[in-house]
Amino acid sequence: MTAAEIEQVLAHIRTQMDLDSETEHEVLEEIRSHLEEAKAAARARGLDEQAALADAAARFGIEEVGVELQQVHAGWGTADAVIAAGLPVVCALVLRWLVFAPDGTALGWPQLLTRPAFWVIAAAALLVPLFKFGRWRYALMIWIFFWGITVVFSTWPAQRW
Amino acid sequence: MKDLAVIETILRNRNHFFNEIREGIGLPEKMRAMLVSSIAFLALYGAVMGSTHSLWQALSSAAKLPILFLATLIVCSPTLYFFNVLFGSKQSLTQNIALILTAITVTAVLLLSFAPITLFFLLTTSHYQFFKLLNVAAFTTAGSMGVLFLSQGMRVVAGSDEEGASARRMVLRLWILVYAFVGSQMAWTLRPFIGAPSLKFELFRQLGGNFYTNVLASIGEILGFVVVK
Repeated sequence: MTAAEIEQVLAHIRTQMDLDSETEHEVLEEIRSHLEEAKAAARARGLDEQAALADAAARFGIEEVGVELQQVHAGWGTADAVIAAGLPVVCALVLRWLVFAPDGTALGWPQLLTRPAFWVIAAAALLVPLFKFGRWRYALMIWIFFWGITVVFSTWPAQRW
Repeated sequence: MKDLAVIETILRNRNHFFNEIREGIGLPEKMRAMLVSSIAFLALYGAVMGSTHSLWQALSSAAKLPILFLATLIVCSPTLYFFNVLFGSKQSLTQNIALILTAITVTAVLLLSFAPITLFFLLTTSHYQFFKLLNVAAFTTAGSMGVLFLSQGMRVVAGSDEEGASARRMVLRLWILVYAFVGSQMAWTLRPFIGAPSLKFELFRQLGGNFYTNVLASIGEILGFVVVK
């Protein structure tokens, strides 16, 4: 399979997908590497260029692969954005209600700082997403920001305007 | 993930989505996905709004915000359907509801995207009137985009059905005004969503006044003309 033919196959698969361009690029690059492996394997079995192309296409199921990949990856772009907006907000709200009493007052706040349990929960809420959700790097950056300003403005409430 | 795939299609490939609504393809699945996503996103935004006051207010607003949108949908959708039918529309009530749900879903997604901004101001400011107006601005922006999607959807779903098309466009414009009016009055009825810092938590506040005079009074207080009690 020549480079131009591989591009043709990838272009055909692309027409069956409607994903964000970053995901589409990642998926097509993965297919490209699989196609090149399939081509090398076919050549090793003694097939010529054209037969290797037909063999690789048949093994890969070119006609169905675009539709299947679309089904597998659809929604991931939105999921990333939803997680980026939602996860830090949920985590910051949980942290807020760990800091404040349920009625919204911060009466117990200085005592809370002396309790190791608070620091354990706050650190876990920061670190667990960091290790568990590597894909959602923007969400983690936003969460770290909110974690920081929650602690800053709870410690120095006079800084609020 | 399937629910989010529906949202992605609405945002990325709306014509395809509206065409499927016109053909009646997978309407129950689409409506379920939009309903579930909208409720989750609106509940989260409601929780952020209520968090300025107390945990109980946060929980109450998380429950009330999806109710606000769904109750407005229930109240307003028959009007849109019957007036459209009157002017030659061939859409079913389910298709009409699916289109309005699309508008609510777009509004809910955009409100979710505003949630980090609202949270930022929640953490850094204690100015109640400013926070209230910030939310009015977020709802106005998100709601306008939702309504824009609805009018595009109505055009696509109507397709080449030219009979009464201009009358239906006028009906849609008037209906959007009615929808906004009912929505704001519904919000006023279900208030508080933020909770005045000087008042204790209340699930519902005594009726009195209206949404528009309250917004004007808040603007007046920020500009230093009046003090809102």
